[in-house]
This record gives sequence, structure tokens and C-alpha cells, in this order.
Amino acid sequence: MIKELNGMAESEATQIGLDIFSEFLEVAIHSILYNRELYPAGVFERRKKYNVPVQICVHPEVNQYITQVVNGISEFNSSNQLEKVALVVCNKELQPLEKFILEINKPDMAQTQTDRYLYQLEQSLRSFLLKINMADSLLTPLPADCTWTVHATTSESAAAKRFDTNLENNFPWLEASEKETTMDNASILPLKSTTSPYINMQMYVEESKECKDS
Amino acid sequence: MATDSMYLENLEEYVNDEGKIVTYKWLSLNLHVHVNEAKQMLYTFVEEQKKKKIHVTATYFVSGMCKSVDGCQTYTCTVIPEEELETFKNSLTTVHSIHVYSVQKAGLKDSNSLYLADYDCVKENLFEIHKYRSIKYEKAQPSSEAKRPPIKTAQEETKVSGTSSAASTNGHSSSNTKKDAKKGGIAGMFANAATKKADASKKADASKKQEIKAETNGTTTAGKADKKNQKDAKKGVANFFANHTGKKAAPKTMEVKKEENEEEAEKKKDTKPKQNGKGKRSKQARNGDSDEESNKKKRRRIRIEMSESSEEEMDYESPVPSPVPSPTREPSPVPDTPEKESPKKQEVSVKPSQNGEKHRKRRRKLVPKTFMDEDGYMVTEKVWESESTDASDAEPPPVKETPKPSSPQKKKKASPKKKSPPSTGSKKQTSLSSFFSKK
Repeated sequence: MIKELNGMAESEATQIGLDIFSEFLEVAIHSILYNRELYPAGVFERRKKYNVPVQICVHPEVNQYITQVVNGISEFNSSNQLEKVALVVCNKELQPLEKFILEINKPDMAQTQTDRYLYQLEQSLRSFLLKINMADSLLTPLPADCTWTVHATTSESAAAKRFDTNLENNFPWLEASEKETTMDNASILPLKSTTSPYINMQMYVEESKECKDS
Repeated sequence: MATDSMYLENLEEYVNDEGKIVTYKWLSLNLHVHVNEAKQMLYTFVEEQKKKKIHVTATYFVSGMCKSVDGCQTYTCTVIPEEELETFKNSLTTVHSIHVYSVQKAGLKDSNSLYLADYDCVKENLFEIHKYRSIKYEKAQPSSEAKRPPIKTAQEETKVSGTSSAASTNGHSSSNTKKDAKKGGIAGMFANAATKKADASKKADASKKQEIKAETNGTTTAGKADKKNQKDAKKGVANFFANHTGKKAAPKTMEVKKEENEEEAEKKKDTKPKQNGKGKRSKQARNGDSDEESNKKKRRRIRIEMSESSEEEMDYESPVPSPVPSPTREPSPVPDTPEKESPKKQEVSVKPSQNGEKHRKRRRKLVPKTFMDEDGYMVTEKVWESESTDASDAEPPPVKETPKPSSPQKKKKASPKKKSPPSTGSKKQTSLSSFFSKK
């Protein structure tokens, strides 16, 4: 399938951006799980993505969960309604301790010519992964027995639209409660941002100092 | 010395403020110093930080003779975190070299980040990687497309030249010893240098694979080798073929290696096997291009001849989806080969007055462009492009490729899946058509 990049329609470029974003999100979630030691290191296997090694979990149920999450998010994203994706780490009492947030903006399509072979995009995604690996040096370590979940910030219409289909797939997205979303005394640690023609996002970590001390 | 203190300050900035992982390779390429100086700097830095009680962790490169296992002594090169340094040193009978490999603020979970840390830097300088190192081989030059032998003889040639090229690459990887050098650590290094040279790396890595698999070195870089193996495994069919020739090459490597080693030992007299291997490897890899015809290349050539297929392009240029994730999602959205082999862009030497109807605002922007040049190399250049901000302007105005002497040229050798037609002809063509298309 040869695509004529010169005359590429905006919709195609958008689709490409969405797909790449979904792939990246999946790898990023796995990396965060590995780096924050949310699962023991033994369940992770080294695989290759963007020409560098990444750690991917091999537990089938975890993978299934992640796949469904990413599918759901890409549906929200397809209508361009997705604002943020957050991987929230909570302690035993379900209070959020850390949030890895990916903010998404509409990419500037005009420059698709500059990155024809997506080499620069690949490079920036690689540096995202590197930053995730490095993040744990700058974050306080997590206590034992943490759980994690994924929050997506989107518009109400998009959420409502997908609700029925999600229910059919047995994977409903529910509205998150106040308790799960608010963090007291949060500090932000910026990680990386990229503005390629296909993806425009920035990543940062919010951590709640208070909860960690308790 | 003044320069040293400046470098050390820079280093401190990189490690403490930016939280970077600084490997000696990265340092040498960025500060344009010899690798030995870079290693020295890292060492002084670590010492200073210890005195100041600032927490930094380091990984060390250790090479030496292992205690014999089953009567077979092995020469190993390993990168280990400092906690394991002492225990590892004790496990070696003789230690030939130790130096600081990297410095970073916090402990590393695994070697992934080490590979990531200098990946981009090394890739950009692939052809000049030997500049700051002790191992040089002047006769090794990148081969051009024309010199590559035709496909038909490839199969025989691989068997014949497979020996010599694989041998020499393997040979360079071991240093002063005549024994079979274990490639655990080195293969990882080679992975860095030769990833872009898909052909050569396939070849040599296949033969290395045999040796790596035989070895059960519980080192951190074994992980790197594994990853490299996996990478190769994913590259598909060619791997299968490369394996066969690799096996034949392996036993012959011993003799050829010995000669090479003697030469090496005389010339260099250094105990940096890793660099030795690496520097040579990258040169050899280039030679390897003309000598070896791995089936990967064969496959590519066939494809090139048959059609301008974009699938190969996708394999290399686009992010490859890892096997685990969803079967539901189809890989690659990535766009691909344009129909024109060398997308030449024309600069709009136009004045805004050209279109009477719409008022287009033209801005000139310095923008990096990636395209294929005559040798089949992918070139990224910074080019002035005029950007029109008219809403109806769906496609960006064609930009002429003006290789400005001041603009930095980075040559990246793309695996030659694409034909590289004489670009001069197409340059003219595109210039003409762009002239017309503007009207």
C-alpha cells in the first residue's frame, strides 16, 4: 500500500497519528508498570519498540486489561475529544499517590512533509520512553500494595457516545469519583513534550507528597 | 586545567540538573574529546561527587578472563552496576580493564536505559564513530551502490565471504587472547553500532548468536545481546538463512581470528576490546556491505526490482509494533514510500503577487527535510521552506532542495530498499513541474 505523502489527506494523517498514539500509550503503560514496580520485575519481558528495548508485561490478564483500556482511549481520541490520559497509582485506600499524565492537543498538520519517514517522531517517542525510565530517580518510591488505574479526560458527549458500545464489550468506562481524582498537595514533574505533525502531546507526573509520607 | 573544570561542570549539569544518563560514548561525542578522556572525566566526576556526598551511581565496564568452566576459559566484557563491581572482579581470574561506563543520578533498573541513553547520538555519528577512539582502520570505506555484487552470486558469496567478514568482525571483537571471545557484552555494543547496517549486522550477529547462546554469562549486557537476537529474529526470513551460513563461519573464525589478533595486538597494544571491536566493527560492517549479501538485502533488492513496495519501508522507518500488544490493532499507519524516489522539494521563488485571487502570506521557515539522495542514503537537511498560511492551502508549497553549505548534513544509511535513480535527472524534472504547478 503506497501512500502518496504529498497529497495526503488530513484524515489519513490524523488516523496515522491516532494509531501511533495508541501504540505508544500501550508501551508507555507497560514501562510505567515496570519502572514503578507495580508488578514484580519477573513478569516483564524485554521486547523491542522504536528500535530500543522496552519491558512488556507477559501476564495475560494484565495485557488484556491494558489492551481494552487503550482501545477505549483510542475511540475517545478518534473524535478528537480526548484531553488527557492519566495512569493513576493509588494506595490501599484508593487515594491517588501519583499520576502519569499525557496531555493531548490537536497536532498541526501542515508540516507532515518534514517528517515523511516518521524518523523524528520515532526519535521523540524514544526520548519519552527514556524519560519514563529516568522518572523514578526523581520521584519518591511507592509504598507496597498499590493499585493502578487509567483515567481519561474527555468531553461528555464522547463519553456518552461510547458508553453503550463499551457496555457491550463488557468493559464500561465509568465516571471517576471525586476521591479518585483529587490529589492534595500535588507537585508536578514535567517529563517530555513533543509537537510532531502527527502527535502533539506532553507528559508529566503529578505526585502527592502527603500521601506518600503516611 | 581550565578546560577540564569546564567539562566537569558541564558533566555536573547533565547528571544532576537534567537527570541524564551520561555514558562515556555520549560524553566523547558531545564534547568532542577522545573516549579515554571521557572515561577519565567520568571517573574524576564520580570521585568528586563522593567527596561532596552527592549521590550519583555509576556503572563500570570490566573485562578479563573468567575462571574456567568445564576447562574452557572465557574472556568476558561486562557492564555492571557499582554494587556488583567487587563481586564480579573477584569472579575473574585476571582483570584486564575497568573503566566507568556511565554516570547517572539514580540507580538503573536495567540496561534498557543505558542503550537508550546514547542511541540517538551514536546513530547520528555512525560513520564517524571511530573519530575519538583508538581503533582505526583506514582501508575501510563505505561502499557505494555500484560496487555491490549482483544478487545471483549472493548465495555463494555469502558462504565464501561470510567466513572472512564474519570472522573479521568476530575477530576484532576479541582482543589479546586467541581464545574464543565471548560476545555477551560486545554483541550489545555491536548492536549499537551496526543496527542501521541491517545486512552486515544480520550476518555477524547471526554467527555471534551461536556463540552467545552457548555462553551462559549472567551479565547485564547479556540482556542486550538477547535483545539484539530478538531484534534479528523479528527481521524475518533472512535471519533463517543467515543462521546457516553463520554456523559454517563460526569454526573458521578461530583461525582467521588468530591472524587478525596478532596484527591487532602488535598495532594497538591496548586492552580495550570493546572499543576495538566496535570501531572495527563499524568499519567492517561497511565493508561487509559489499562483501556479504545477506538474504535480507537480497529480499530487498528483489522487492526493489519488482515494485516500489512500501512495506519494507514500514519495517524500518516506522515504529514496529511489539508482538504483545493487541492483535486487534493493525500495525501501521505509517506512511510510506512516496512514489517518487527522491522527493525533491522546490523552493518557492515566488512572490506573493503571483496569485491575484488569494492573499497568501508566505513565511520562510528553517525546517529539517528528510529525503533520499543519489546514493540511496537518507539525508536530513535544514532547508528554508516558505510556508503559506492560507487556509485553503492543503499541501505545503513545494520546496526546492537547496543544499546550503551552512546547513548541517547528517547522513543516515537507510537500508537500501529503495531504488536510487539518478537524482540529477529528477531534480531537473521536479524543478520544471513545480514551476508549472505553481500556476
